[in-house]
Amino acid sequence: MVRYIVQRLLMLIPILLAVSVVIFVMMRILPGDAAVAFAIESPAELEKIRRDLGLDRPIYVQYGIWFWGLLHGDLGRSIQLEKPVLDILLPQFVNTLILAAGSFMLAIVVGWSVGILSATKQYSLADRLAMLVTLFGVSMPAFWLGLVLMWLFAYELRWLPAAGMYSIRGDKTFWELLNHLILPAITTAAVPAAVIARITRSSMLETIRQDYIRTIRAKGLPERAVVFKHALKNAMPPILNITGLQLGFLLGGAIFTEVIFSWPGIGWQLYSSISGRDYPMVQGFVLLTSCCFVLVNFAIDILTTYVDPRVVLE
Amino acid sequence: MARTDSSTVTLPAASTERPQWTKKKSQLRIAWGRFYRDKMALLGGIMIVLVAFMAIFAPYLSPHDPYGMDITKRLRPPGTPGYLLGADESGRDILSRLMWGGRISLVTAIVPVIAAAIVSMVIGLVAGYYGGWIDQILMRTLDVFFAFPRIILAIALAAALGSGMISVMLALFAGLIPYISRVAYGAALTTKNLQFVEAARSCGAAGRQIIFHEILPNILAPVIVYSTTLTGLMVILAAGLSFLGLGVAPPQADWGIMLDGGRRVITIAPHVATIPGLLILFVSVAFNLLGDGLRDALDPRLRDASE
Amino acid sequence: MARRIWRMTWLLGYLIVIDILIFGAALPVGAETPRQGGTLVYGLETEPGVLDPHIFGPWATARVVMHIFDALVTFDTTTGSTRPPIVGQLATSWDISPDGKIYTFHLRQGVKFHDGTPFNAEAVKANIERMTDKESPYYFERASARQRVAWRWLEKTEIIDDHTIRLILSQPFSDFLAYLADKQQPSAMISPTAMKKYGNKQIAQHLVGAGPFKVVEQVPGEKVVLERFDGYWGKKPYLDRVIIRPIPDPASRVLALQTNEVDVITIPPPDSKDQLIQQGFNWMQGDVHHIWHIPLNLENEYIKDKKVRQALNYAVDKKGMAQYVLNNTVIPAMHGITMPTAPSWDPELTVYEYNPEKAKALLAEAGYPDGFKIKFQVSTAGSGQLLPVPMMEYIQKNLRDVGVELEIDAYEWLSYVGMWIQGAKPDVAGMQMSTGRPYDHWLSRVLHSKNDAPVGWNNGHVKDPVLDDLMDRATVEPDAAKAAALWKQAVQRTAEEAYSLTIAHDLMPMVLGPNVKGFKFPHLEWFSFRETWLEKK
Repeated sequence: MVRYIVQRLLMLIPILLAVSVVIFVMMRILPGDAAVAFAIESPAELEKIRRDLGLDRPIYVQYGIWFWGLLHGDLGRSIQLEKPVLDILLPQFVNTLILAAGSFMLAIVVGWSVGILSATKQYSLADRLAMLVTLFGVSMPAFWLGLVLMWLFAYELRWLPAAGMYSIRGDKTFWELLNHLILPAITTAAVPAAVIARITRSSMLETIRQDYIRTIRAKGLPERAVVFKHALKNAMPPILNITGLQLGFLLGGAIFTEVIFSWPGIGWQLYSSISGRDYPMVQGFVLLTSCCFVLVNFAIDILTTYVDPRVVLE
Repeated sequence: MARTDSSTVTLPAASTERPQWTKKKSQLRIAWGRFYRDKMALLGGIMIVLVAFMAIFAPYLSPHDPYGMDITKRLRPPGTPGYLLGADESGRDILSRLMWGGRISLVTAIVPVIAAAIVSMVIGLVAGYYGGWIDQILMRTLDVFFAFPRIILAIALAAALGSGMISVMLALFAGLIPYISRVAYGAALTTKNLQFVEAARSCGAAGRQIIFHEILPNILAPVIVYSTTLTGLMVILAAGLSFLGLGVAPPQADWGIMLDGGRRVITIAPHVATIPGLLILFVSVAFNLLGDGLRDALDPRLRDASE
Repeated sequence: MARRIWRMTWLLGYLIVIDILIFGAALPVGAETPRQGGTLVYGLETEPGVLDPHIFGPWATARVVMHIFDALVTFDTTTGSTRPPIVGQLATSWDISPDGKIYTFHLRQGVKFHDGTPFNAEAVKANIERMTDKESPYYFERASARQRVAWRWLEKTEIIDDHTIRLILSQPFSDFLAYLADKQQPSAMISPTAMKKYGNKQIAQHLVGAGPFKVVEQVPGEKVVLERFDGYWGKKPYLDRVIIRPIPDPASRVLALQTNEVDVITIPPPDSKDQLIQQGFNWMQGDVHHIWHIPLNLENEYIKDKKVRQALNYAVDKKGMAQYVLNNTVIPAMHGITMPTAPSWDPELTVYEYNPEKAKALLAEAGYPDGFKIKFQVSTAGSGQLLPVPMMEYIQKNLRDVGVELEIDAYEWLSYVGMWIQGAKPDVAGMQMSTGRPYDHWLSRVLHSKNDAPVGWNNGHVKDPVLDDLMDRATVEPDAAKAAALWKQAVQRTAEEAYSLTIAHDLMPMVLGPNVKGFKFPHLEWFSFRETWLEKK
């Protein structure tokens, strides 16, 4: 087990390295660079500005400089904002994590409940309804849902705020945050909740059909115990697997939500940095997200093996 | 591989039975029969055919020129005479734009999936069958792309390649390959170890023969099912990229751009953004239904796992 | 009977007196009295980015910077006049030598920067060196590049005494003061102590100016928090705090205003005008120095011909554009290549009224009775660019009516800017841009042959010796009235030659909440809330 963990950890390093190269090159394919934004006023000075920003050096030199900084924990400086990348990204990363965590919890609670309910009452009205709703859920375009929710609840009904994490005037209280989190979380959680609901249902169904469940039931155990103590436990591995995968989807889906609701997270910043050709920011962003993503997947794999050693990984 | 990504497909457990696909003709007929009787799948299929029909024949069907602005008709609501679904922020007929936009939205979603499916099957087959260092290289390279959440990869690629249909398709194509390859690879591995393959090899069949005659047919089913479901996601993702301004450039219009245009006037004329989104939702639902139906039709064992 | 009449009169009189008393009390006595205190929240249309006054990027960032930094001179936006005058801010007065080359500034006494450093001639010299003197320890390459045009002819800076500084130019420059007052903030003053302490890279995190507000906090993507500086030399602001909140999405911006999350927004979507006015908000718009136009590329085979250029101008219904596409938040641009607030603006000079018949006739004369195909390039969005694509599509429709097939090539903003500063390629008929300045030297930067792209802003490669000569003379003319007359002639020439397809002048709409008082429309695209106060809701 330990050897497996170490093995996986070691494999992460070349992956992240490759990721850094890929993103470095990708950004530089883009026409126009950050110097252009500063050079609008005096186009003749474009080269001077480029020199000042260090963008005139050959690409491998630029990479080398950046990588060297990376090894020292320095992600470089944002060109647009003249601040160290890490200083900008970390607080925004926290904001995205808040959104992701909130959405994730919502997705799990709704997904698991609906899935279990559906499975235990298969073919009932509730089940059919749930299947219909989840069908729409997995097919939902998040950006459209966000717009509709915003229009309905923030504008028409004025029940909920339309943008940002906190009200700019009020204090940064927990309730303020929760209030602002509702619509974005629903938007981001819609698809994952539906996917989780479906896998929960199918996994539960498969487990319930097994012979040993019938035996336990015949023994006279209350239905509740049958479901929760035995069936659920054995249905868990694929459920956990898929649930964990949703985290990755969440990280991506958060971008649309952040753009629509002006949530000051990392996704919104990515969008802004790509538009501004702020290379260090984009590189830092992608590296950070990939690290996170890879680590989370890794943790889930470990968790899955732990929960059910029968599942053979690789 | 334990991971199968955010889809409802679960692979069949390895079995020693010779899979049904190899008894081709009659099997296809049985599969079609199953599909035909599955009402939901049929519905999905019909919806897609309808939308595709509408898009293909847009030049003949659309009541107005999709680029024709009649400024005096700006933001008219659905039901205005001549504008069945209303007019957008420049006075263009929404229905016509949906039809013409469908050409772009559907093509940018379907083409990358087909291309990626083909390439992924090759990758999966080669890696799965030959194993060894080829396997390691291919799969490790794919792992790099797995490190990016798919949407972020698509955004970064689309931004790097500039706007336009080709860039979007390339970005989606690149993002799809790792996922479909994994499915193909897993299926190839499973099939490789089956007895009948052993049998074929001991008969003296060459590697390539085995790949094409024995393994390929068996990975087709999971790949097709997975790809169909992914197409729905790609419709959404392509529209999302256009929505962010990374897709096709105006004045060309696809559903995502229509949504973005409607965003500005959401408080005054919500129909401009709501209607294209609704269509995206329904097309996505249709593909999901189709995917589910295909899965049930092609391999009922899979159905037990999810029904 | 008489008694009844008498009683009625009495009653009437009584009622009249009561009414007068009631209404009299309700009538405002003169102007309302400003209320001290409060926090104003401003929804900005873009993320301001770095706030260093000598290098900041977006146009809109100037509105934040102007709260923190005072400059030698500035445009006075508090008068509400359509030609904001240049007034001294950190300079109280100045003398200009008769030959126009020597500017002696008398600096204000008793001014302190936010960190307590006294403001004096040394400070001014340090700031100027930052942008001009390579040998100076303060020098900042990027600032020098950004401010090159303003300081282009500066030869020497001489400190006369603690509060007098002399700037010597190598040639007269009629718009020198205007440049110094410009939103680019070349004459904004940063505390030299801070510059020395933090260096050019760190200064952005520790901004120290001499303006009425100081920076408390800046969180990218979220807010910039400014607090009143009680040591300010001038009229202290009424507001305690100003918070700038970037909300790039126009619909969200309007929503934020409507839900009272912000008090002021700029650049609302034109369609929201009627709704917002109905809801009681204060919608302001007016002349500013802005023009949305398509500089025509004289290296293009069709555009070469003056008749074609004129035909294009006749073919576009600019009034319709202003009314239908932009809901009257702009005025049609039919007065030559200039702007409503520029000194050379001549409302009498009206050219190219919508006339598709004339356009077709001109095209036929030029040898194209059946029209032709051309391509315009445009950005999909950008700072101050209005609604580029819908506007282009409208133009496309107009041109089709006279037989010209227009292909529209749209690009994302930064890519587009990169292309634009390289100049238009021969196969492109024009590259749209939206811009402007409140002084006329701008015209020279845009149309002088010396400034041919990629060296300058002359994107269409205009090489007109007559125009060049007029502009050169106007640039060095020391007498302001004579200079304005020369610029007027230059503008007339641009109108005759139709060097650009001028479309609209933005009116910079902005919306204020009903409780925001004391703010007059600035007639300038940059302004601050120094004199604004908030009424209790």
